[in-house]
Amino acid sequence: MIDNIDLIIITIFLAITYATGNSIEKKHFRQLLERESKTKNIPVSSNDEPFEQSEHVQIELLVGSCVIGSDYFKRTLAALKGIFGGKIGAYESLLDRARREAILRMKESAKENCVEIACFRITTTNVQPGMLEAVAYGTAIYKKA
Amino acid sequence: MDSKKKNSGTKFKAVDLDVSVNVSQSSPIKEFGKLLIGFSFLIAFLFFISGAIVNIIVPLIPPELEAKIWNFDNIENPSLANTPHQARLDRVFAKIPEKTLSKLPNYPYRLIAIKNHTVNALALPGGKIIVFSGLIDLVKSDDELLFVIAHELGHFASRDHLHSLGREFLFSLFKAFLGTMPSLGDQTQMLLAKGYSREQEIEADSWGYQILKDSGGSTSEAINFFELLQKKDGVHGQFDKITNGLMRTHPYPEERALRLKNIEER
Repeated sequence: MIDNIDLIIITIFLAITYATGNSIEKKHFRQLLERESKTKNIPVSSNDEPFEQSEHVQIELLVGSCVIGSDYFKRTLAALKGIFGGKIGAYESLLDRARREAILRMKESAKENCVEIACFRITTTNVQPGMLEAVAYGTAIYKKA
Repeated sequence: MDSKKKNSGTKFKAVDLDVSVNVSQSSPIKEFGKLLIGFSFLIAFLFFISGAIVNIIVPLIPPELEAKIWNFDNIENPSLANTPHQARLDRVFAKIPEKTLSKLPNYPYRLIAIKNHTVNALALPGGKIIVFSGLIDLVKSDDELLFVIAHELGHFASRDHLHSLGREFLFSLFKAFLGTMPSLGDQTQMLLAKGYSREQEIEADSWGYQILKDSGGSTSEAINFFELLQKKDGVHGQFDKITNGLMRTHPYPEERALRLKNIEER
């Protein structure tokens, strides 16, 4: 009876996924800011040589990773952008969240007496279309008590 | 937060960052709206380009070749081959004068009655016209049936099936070039295609009206036919008009009746 049911379903889907995706993203960004503030005293550098040059140090490999998925709205927006080109803001925020979450997880996995994280690297991979993983890794430098 | 927290051995002072420079601060809804408009224009452009190409190609295909490609030999339903339904169709078709038929493309026209309660008739590529028994039973006068057949002949006159088929084909070709296209593209194309289909129906109606007139039929029967359809749709038709107007392949019966009345007055 209603032939335009596809169009209605797509519109509803877009509206719902925009609302849910937006609220999840906002919540995540709030959390990120909070947690970043808590861990900001651990310096992270990509230097091969740690700033803390001492014989009384312990080192440990830290790895933090985060897999994040896009929503239907973001995917549709990105697909449209894929035709015309330009900054894909919808994916920028997604990747930003993945990177920051991965770095945070790495930093949070450090023990109490960590003074810095050296040799820091970050990389992203595609898990499947619209879903990606950010992996952050570095060497934690611990001061011996 | 607790920036004064002691962290032994740190030579650096940490600061809070409020915004990430790596995220564009644009409104996704606004962006989406802009893209959607641009995208719809792109699809519309492709749709009309395919229409223009098809308009050049279709006249180059001779009707005989078309009949060879689509022969639909196995479509005949033997149960209605020698029935009053088929006889009525043949009798009505014979009313159309040779002179009128010669104005139409040179198809090997054939009418086939098929047992089905659907009220519909179809023009198949290659010159075959299918009329369902549901429609033959519904129409009261022969002139009404003649109008239906004449309407289908109108589709052959403009070679509408080739036009729609060609557009669909070219559009899928463009789609393949565009690569990953959101399903919204298909939706936009469908809306445009339905609009085009309604135009074709209106065109076929005026052909049908003219052929009915040339065959000496009463043109008011054509208007009666649409009023009959409208009565058959009833309340459901009115509801459909509100929810489904843009998605219909055919205009509303009352609209079509009105158009024919306008032609009659002219």
